[in-house]
Amino acid sequence: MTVMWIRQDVRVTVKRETTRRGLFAGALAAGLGGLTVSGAGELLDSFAPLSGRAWNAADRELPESVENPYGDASVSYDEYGVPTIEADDEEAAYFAVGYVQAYDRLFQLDLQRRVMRGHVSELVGEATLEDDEFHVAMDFVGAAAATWEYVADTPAGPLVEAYADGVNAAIEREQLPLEFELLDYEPREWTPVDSMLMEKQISWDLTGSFDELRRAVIAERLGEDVLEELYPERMDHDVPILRETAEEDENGDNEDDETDENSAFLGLETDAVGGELASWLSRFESPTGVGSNSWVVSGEHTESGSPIVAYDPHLSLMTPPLWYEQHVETPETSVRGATFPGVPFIITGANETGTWSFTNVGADVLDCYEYDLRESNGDSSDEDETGDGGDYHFSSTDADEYRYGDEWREFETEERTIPVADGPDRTFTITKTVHGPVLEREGQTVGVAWTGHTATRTTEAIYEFERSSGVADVLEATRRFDLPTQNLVYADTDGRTLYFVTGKLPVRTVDGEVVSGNRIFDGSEGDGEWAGFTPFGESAWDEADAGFVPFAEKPHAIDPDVLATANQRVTDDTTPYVGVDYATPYRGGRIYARLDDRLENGEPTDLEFHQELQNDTYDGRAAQLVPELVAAVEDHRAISDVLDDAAATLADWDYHVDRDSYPALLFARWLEHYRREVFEPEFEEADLDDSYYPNDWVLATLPEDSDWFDGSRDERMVAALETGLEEINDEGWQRYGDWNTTGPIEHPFGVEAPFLDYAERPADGSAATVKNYRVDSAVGASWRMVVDPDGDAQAVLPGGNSGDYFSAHYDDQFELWLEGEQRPMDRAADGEVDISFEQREEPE
Amino acid sequence: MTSDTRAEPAEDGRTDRTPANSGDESDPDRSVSDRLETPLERARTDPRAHAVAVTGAVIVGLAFSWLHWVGLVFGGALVGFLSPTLPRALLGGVGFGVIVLVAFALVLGEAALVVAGTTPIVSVALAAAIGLPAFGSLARLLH
Repeated sequence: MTVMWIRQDVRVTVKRETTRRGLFAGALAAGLGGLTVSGAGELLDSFAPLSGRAWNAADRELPESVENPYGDASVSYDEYGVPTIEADDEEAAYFAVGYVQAYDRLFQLDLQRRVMRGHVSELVGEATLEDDEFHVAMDFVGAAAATWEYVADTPAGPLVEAYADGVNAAIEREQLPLEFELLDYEPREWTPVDSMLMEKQISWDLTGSFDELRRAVIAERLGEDVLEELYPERMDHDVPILRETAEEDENGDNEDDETDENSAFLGLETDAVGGELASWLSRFESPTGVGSNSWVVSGEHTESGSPIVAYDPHLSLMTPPLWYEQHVETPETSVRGATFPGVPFIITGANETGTWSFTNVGADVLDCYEYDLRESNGDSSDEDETGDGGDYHFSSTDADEYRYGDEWREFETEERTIPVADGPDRTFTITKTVHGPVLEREGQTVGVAWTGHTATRTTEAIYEFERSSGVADVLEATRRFDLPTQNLVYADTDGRTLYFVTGKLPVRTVDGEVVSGNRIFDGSEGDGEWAGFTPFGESAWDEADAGFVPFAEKPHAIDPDVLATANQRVTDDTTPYVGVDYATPYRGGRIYARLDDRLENGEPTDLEFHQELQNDTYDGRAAQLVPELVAAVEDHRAISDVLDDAAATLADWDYHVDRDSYPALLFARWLEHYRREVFEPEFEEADLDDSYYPNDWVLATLPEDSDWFDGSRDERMVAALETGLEEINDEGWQRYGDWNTTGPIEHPFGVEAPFLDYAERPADGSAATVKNYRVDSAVGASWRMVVDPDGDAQAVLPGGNSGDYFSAHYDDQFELWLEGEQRPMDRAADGEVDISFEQREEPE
Repeated sequence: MTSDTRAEPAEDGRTDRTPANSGDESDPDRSVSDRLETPLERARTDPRAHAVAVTGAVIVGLAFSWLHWVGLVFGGALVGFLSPTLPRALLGGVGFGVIVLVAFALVLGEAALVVAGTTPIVSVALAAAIGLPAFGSLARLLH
């Protein structure tokens, strides 16, 4: 019995034990299963040690040899990760260029083309759907395809194809960079059209402006008087790029022939355009503050006796940088400089003969058209009250016909799919008129003509710049530089210098009269059309009757002695009409003042002087406003010690916005609040946000008795100072660099993976200084270069040449850039070969 | 009064090597246990056998961890299973995680220092390296 009792007890115990084990096993399995199917499983798939796919990107290594179907080539990287590509055959060289660009910047290549193709939502979901819709609506892809159709038959065409093959070889062979692993996707094949899309992207970033829509909204809400007062077509200054014309003006030889018709908004019809459309479109325009500095001095003013060009384009600052530096050595040329990832050829740099640079003109190369619209079934339910003569002038997404002359035409339409992650794909219908794509927002509709919406020859021109051997070659290449409109500044070993406005400048006529383009045209009447322009086809640029300013009539200067461009007004001549979207003259004025001062002293310049000038932090706005502010504080009735101290600090300031300066901080924050003090009440009432505020030149030159000061400029100034001081105190800022930091220079994944951003550092400079940095929009010197074409060259990138986070060249130039230093940009090709490209089979 | 069939840990932390009712071939549960227990108990209690078994478990665990993160759980489970007590199993799981991290750093080479700065994603790697093997080591509760 005892034995039986024990055995039964054991059975019970074993059963309990089995049950307990089962429970534990179940719990373990459930835990494991939970991890697998939950979001934690995805995280572990990506980041678990040893197996996480993200870590595959941590040990990418350059291959020693790569098969190149176009011929032998070699790549050697220098100490800053800049590749020198050498080959006896250009196609072999550009295959290697494609390979190294893809190795170093593949995610950037892919992201940029996704933006332009409207395929970002495929990665990130619905959050970017509106952006994608805009890019699809504008059909940048169609424009790029038309461009490639042209470029393919030029000498540059085969090189673009070889480049695309190089990119694809790298995609196929190499470990993808970290970003692809983070998002768990693989890039599609790179095509020549994608490279053309890059040309469209940078052109759009520089010239994509719906300024006429914004002006129309301002005129409607604040009145045309306000428009003319706060948004003058010409700012009152005397430092245009071509100063000779300004001197002629002073002599009365070149009367301002601007007519009322040209300056006003006659016939402006705003019923098609409202704040919603303008506000929406403003999201896709050039980033605020995009501009650049470049200048040239002839050999008469340099130590070497050779001209010097200094250049720093102010474009979006990002991680990795916008520009990629490369050096290509072929029997045809030896060229080194910067390009945009995705573009095979060097855009700015130097070859054996010369050096060239581009700054933005601010030309008006985009027009908007409104139309009489109707539904094809004749139902005019949304008829506009201003419609007349049976024409239905309405703005509606239901319209499928527009009037063009005497006939009603159907919109040309095409359906495109916008893929969306974690949601259904969207079908978007692209709509076009004879002028170009149609944009619609909340019932407001405009047609858009942009010089980039046709086959452009810029790729061919850039290729020819690389091979140029003097001014004549450069001028010939510039003829084909259709877009963007840029201030070309050039110098060469022959001591020649050159300035030329690139790009096509449309000529608009209304009733036979030439008019400016800062208005919305009546598309139904054919007003303002550009003769010879064929959207999404090949335009007749050079025909005698083409509606574009002839090449020789575009602003230019052959062999200028000293010339500075900082996006200010090109010339005081009003014909031909170039545009009105010029930068304030602070930078241009400062550069000219420094150069004039140096040259008048008879002291020759060298690379060091020009590098130092690129780092000039004098803020002309402070010079205009601080004396008035100090006087306002002194005159103020209820002065306090705090205000008095602040005024005294500002009074002793040298107007340099350096990172360690307290008065610079005080001025910067005061200016922000002063702007609001002056404009916010009226603008807010008109439902216009601060993006509509006029520029600082206008603010600084408002007369003391202007109505905008609501009675007293001094009171506005002092009130802004009080607010600024309070803010500085609340934030605990001690110096300019506490507020003006490099924090906004972000990687696209900077929020989710902040380690990808560059370090946050205090920075010098402002929107108005030569050393340009705009903390509010992350725009600034995206590349600095100083070149003596017959001597040394130097440059720096705001970050590093590699976009691979694990590369030593991811951020190795960032501190140099921040400190205003540069490193050599020479064309010696004596480094050790890192990659050998070998031909093992003939190209098909 | 009942009798616990599990091996009781001794005062010194070692397990009692004499099961209370070993040799009962007629009990199906017991027969399975018996087949497992002898070598398992040896691996848990005999220092040399334990070292060999744990080394093997670590190697197998690392190999599986290389293929998939479930390998981290598996490796921890193997190490834990070979531990004489639950606390030591947990310690073994954590130890396995440390070995995984060392292997991870060696594989990364020079990039290891850069990876160390990839907050927050490196935190997932660290947490997974320690947490998953520790979780797996709870398998010690099964036997």
